Parts: sequence; structure tokens; C-alpha cells
Amino acid sequence: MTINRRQFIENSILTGVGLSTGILGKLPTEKVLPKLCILHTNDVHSRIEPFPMDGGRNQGLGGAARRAALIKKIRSEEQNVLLLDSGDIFQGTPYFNFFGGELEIKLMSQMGYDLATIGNHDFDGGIDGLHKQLPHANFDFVSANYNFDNTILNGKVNSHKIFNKAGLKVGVFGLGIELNSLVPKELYKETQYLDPLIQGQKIASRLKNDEKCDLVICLSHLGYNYRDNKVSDVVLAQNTSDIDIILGGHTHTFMSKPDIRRNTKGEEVIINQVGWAGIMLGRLDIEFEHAKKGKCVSCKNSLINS
Amino acid sequence: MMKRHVIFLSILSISIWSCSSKTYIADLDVNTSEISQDYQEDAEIASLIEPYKKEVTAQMVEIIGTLDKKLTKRRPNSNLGNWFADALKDESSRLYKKQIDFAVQNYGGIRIPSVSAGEITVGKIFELMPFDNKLLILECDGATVKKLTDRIAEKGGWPISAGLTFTIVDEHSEDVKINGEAIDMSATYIAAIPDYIANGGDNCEFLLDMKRYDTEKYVRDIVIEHLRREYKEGETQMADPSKRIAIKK
Ligand SMILES: [Zn+2]
Repeated sequence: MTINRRQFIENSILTGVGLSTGILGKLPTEKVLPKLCILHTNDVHSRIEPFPMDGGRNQGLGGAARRAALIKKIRSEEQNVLLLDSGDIFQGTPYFNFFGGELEIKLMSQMGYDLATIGNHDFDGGIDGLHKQLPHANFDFVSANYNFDNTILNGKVNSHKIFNKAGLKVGVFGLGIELNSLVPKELYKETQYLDPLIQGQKIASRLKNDEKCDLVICLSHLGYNYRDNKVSDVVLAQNTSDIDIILGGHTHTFMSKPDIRRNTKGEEVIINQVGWAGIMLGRLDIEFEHAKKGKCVSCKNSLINS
Repeated sequence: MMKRHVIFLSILSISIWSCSSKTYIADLDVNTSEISQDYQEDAEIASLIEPYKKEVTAQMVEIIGTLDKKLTKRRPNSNLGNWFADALKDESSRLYKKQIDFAVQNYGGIRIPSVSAGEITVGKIFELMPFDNKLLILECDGATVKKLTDRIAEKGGWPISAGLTFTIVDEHSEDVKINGEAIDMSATYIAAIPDYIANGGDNCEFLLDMKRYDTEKYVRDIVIEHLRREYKEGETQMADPSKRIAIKK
């Protein structure tokens, strides 16, 4: 599979773009960069068990124990796995009403989640309810645009986290949706919502330029796209720079393939989302290359075109 | 809607390369999988779930009612919406020990599209109403009730109980009647409303100033109690197709 794909890519490059050599080439002096396997979920909504066999559209799908088995299998085949969640872990089945999210967090910990952001429904047990479940988490939550300074979560949620995967530096940050009128104030209390475009740009630049991350990922619970100008993953992608990948949530969008948009520098941003309820496990396999001067595909393309 | 199979997609030469960075994405493959019945369960995870599942299942399977016809959720009216709002009105009248004029439930708060005829379990009511919203009793002046029916009209119709009727004309309400009489803007009406709306959700901020009594019970539990009681009394839940909200074109 890989060999065919590689040949296909090289053929495409040669015929389609008309570059002579080297883009994906194996120059002997080139250091081989590790592959990264990003697994992701969003809006799992307390779906511990698969959907019941009741004739519904999703019957028999999902289930934490099956997802865990798949993750285990992938880990046995891949060296550098990052397992991420884009929020709305809570709410939707009696497991949440009964146990306040304890089981959801314990399961994610056992599956080896690396990081998650906070969705609007993660406040459904109150900010105190979320805080109460943190001891069950062996992974961190990140949000770059919720200011928790005057809440019980003060100091418990960072804006981002940097992972080192076999020498690759991957910066991951979180963005959450406006809570006002979506979540009762008595639940989120003094959580302050900050502009996701401003905060997102700030942290992405820091990760890309100061921290020199090889890859910058945003875990977003803003929603994929809206008819009006409401801030969304698409708006974020097009109005910022330094974000490579946006793993989204909130709109429960099943995307058959990622949406690719251009950022303010004209670079491509990949947006992906995998529906809801743990029906899908998102997987992006990424190969990296050293980009030597003049060998950037898009730069070359624009030169040819101009 | 996408095909629910393993997706294999290769995106060629994604060049999200930043000139300040030393690496760029050379190749990105999407290998998203559907978690179907083809996958075996992980034994460790299944055993972690087991005790929780036992506790949940024991309570969810309890039969608390029977239903004569399938209930379906629709706008502006539906037999599911009617049934739900009527249950809130009836049960909150008992809690408040006073006649409630009407009950309202926001459309989005009912989370499944239908309830099948036959036996109703606790689990089904949890699916219908997973949110832990409490029911509040509000004393509203007629003018505020009119604001509420205008909002409901603007949103295309929400479940409302017997006792309230109106007509949607160009996204606002007209001919609002309470217990069969034209609304009196200065009169006080007693309404049963989930806290989500009563606290200003779905743009109902005008309800925030209304005098309120907290039932301190979840909307879901109120419906469950209503069902249990009538089931004990041998009553069957009857679908009511009446049109409480009319639309004038
Ligand atoms: Zn959600």
C-alpha cells in the first residue's frame, strides 16, 4: 500500500507539478524524519456502550471497549501516536447523569489519551463537576481562550502542551466556544471567554516561531462552519497563521475527508472532525520532510505560476 | 452523508510549510475508521465498564408506563411535544399544589425524534431528556407571556401544554389564548418552564426577572414520576394530536 502510494505521489509530482527531483526524494544525506499518527475523537457524549440495536440509524455503532481495542492495535503498529479529543466528553447517556463523568474520564485515561479540550457540555455538571473528575484523568485539558483565573480550575488548565515524538516537536492547544447563552452561567461561573482568533493566533505563533514546533494542532470546540460569520474552524483557519491542523467538534460533523483552507499566509490548514458519539476514530498519518530552501512545493508552485 | 466504511484517502503533497520551520508535511493519509461491530471489545476496558453498566442497567430497564401510539417530534406541533408538555403541566400542578396555566419545553431539549408505542422504560425517558435541567414555576405577567410566545413563534414552534394556544404570523405570535381566553397583558399567569429557558437560554432573557419557585426536581424526574404514578393507577399514556400552534400563511 505504502509503496504504491509513494509511487503515485512521485508520479503526480513529476507529471502534475513538473518539478524535476527531490520533493519527496530520498537524498542519501537527508535525515529521515519520524512518522506521526494522530488519532482523534470529538463529542463522544458519554457514549460508553455502542448504540442499542433498536432500529435507529446508529444502531450497533461506537462503544468505548471497541474503540480501545482499535487504539491498542494501532499502537502495536505505530511508533508515534498522539490520541486527542476535542471536547463534549460529557452528557448524553445515563452514565453521565449517574456518575458525573467519572467513567468517561477513567476510560480515556486507560485508553491513553494524551490531551483534550473542553466542550460546552463538559460544564453540564458545573465547573465544580468537571473539577471533581480531574483526579481521574492522567491526561491534561487545554484551552487558550477560557480564562479560569477566578474559578476552581485556576492553574489546572493550560493553554497548550508540547509533545516530543521521536524528535518531532508537536504543539497542541485548545479553543472553546462562547459559553454565554449556550451554558447557564451558574454552571460555568466566572469562566471568562476570550476571542478565539486572537488567542489562537497568539499561541500558534508562539508554538511555531518561539517554540519551533514542527507541527501545530488546534483542538477546537468552535464548530466546523456556520452560515453567518460566527467564529468556526473555517473562520479560524482562514484568519490566522501558524496552525497546521484543526481537529474540531461541536457541530457533530461527519467529514468524509478533511477540509483544506488557506491561512493568512496562503498556507494550507487541514480541518477534520469525526461526527460524534465515538462512532468514528479519526486517524491522520503524517510524514514529514525537511524543507530545504527552494524545495517547498507551494513556494515553487507560486513561482511557476507567477 | 458519508459512507460508513473505512476511509482511505491520500492527500498529496500538503505543503503547509512555514518558511521559518525546518519541517513540513510531505504526505498526509486519512485512515479514519468507523467503530462497527467488526471490532472486538478490549477486555480491560469492558471490565472497567462492567460495574457501572450493572448499576445503570438495573435502573434503566424499569417499565414505568405504556403508550397507545408512537409519539413523534415535529414543529410547530407534535404528539410527542404535546405529551411531554402536558406531563410537565400536570405533575407540576401537584408539586406546586396550585393550578398551572401552561407548561413550555424548548424544542432542542427533547433529544430523540420519537418514542415507540408500547412499554416505556426509565431509559427511554433518559434518552428523551438527558439534560439535568430543573423545572421552575414562574409567575409571568401577560406581556411577558406574549414575549415568550413571540420567541416560540420565531423559533418555529416549541412543545406547549394544553391551556395555551396561538397562531404564528410572520415569525411572531397572534391570537394568544390562555385557558381559552384572550391573553390579558396585565394579568398574572403561572407557567412551568425548564430552568434552561427561565434563566435566559434560547434568547429568553426576558424571563430572568420573573418571580420564580424552584421545584428542585429535574424535568426528567418529573416526567418519570408522572409516568410511574399513572402506570400504578392503570392508565395508558394517550397520544394527543391537537394543534395548539397554528400557522397563518
Ligand atoms: Zn456536542
